[in-house]
Amino acid sequence: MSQRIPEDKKVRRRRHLSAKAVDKLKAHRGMATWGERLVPLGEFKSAVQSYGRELDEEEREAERRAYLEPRPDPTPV
Amino acid sequence: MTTATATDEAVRERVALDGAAEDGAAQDVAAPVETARAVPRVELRSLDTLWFQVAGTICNLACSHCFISCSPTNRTHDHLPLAEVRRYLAEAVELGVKEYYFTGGEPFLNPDMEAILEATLEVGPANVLTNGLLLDPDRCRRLAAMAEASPYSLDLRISLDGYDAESNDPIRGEGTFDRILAGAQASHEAGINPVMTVTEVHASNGTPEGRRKFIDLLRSLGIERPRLKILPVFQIGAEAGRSGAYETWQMLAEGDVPEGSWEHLQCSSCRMVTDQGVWVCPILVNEPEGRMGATLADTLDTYPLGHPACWTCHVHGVSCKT
Repeated sequence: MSQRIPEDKKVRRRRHLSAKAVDKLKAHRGMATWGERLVPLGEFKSAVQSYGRELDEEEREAERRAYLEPRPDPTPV
Repeated sequence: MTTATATDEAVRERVALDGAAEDGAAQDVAAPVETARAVPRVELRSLDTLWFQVAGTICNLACSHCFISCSPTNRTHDHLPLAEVRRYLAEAVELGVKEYYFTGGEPFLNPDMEAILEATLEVGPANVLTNGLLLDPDRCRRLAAMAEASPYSLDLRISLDGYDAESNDPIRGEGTFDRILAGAQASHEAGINPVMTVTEVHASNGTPEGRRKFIDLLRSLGIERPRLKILPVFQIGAEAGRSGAYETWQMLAEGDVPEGSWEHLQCSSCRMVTDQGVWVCPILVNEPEGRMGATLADTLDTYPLGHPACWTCHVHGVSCKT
């Protein structure tokens, strides 16, 4: 027996989704949330790439070393 | 060293536009009034907590108060694969991170989630923020076995927004109250006492009487020592549409957080890994200016508190961790 759904049944199934449910499914199709705005996904992703430090490996190693260096503790003992 | 410049520029722009709005000149966007208002910068004192946006913004729910508007189709951020998590764990261990948190979206939608937890529990305590819908008894037993085999703890944080279906379901979705409680019960029965996380989406949730109702509810599930965490709402994402966005005065200015007195701000001790790099904290992941770099080493710099959500963190002393 064929597993394919006859064309008319496909249409009927689609009609079973409420307008609200369809809206929800479409809400983010290809869109990203940037704060409260919906923007094209590509726009968000390219904006993201313009922020943040991109250090090279040597600079990263220097950052890690500086971070791990013990800091002076002013607590009187 | 482009981070500070780009982020500071964005903050200046926001402040300038806010200044224009206050002056009644909001329409003149082309010529914003540049103000001298500066914002405090927070030093990363110690990277104690590392967060993973492990499910991105993909969730099986679409809660009306979600500050990053997660939904089944929101791919602003995508899943983090196991290999990527491992790379960050290795760097985190080197930097002395003490604990790990996993959030989304719904973390258990990530097919690698259990393997990710197994890898994490080799190096430190793990906490998962979940909506509880995918916590069936089998999964909970597997998680409990994983925790048992590890020298570190595994905590589950389950979100709930009302002490009955009438108050929870309009926020989290039809039928979710019962399913969340079923998840909490499965977790408890497997031996993991869940932390129920409740937002103040209803003002009564955080009152002594509200807390009592949640505690009683958890006791009714057989949880003898209920664990409850109350969080304020952030007026961003879906919540801005529900209860309104921040007002222009809800911004921190220089002097609001004196230098060195920022221990209460989680950005002084955490960072957030996403599929697009490392962000300053779990709250600002839908703000490109929250991105600090590609690796943890890129993000050890100070960060300007230039977003209105920073005001909520400062005023309420919010910490997303348990």
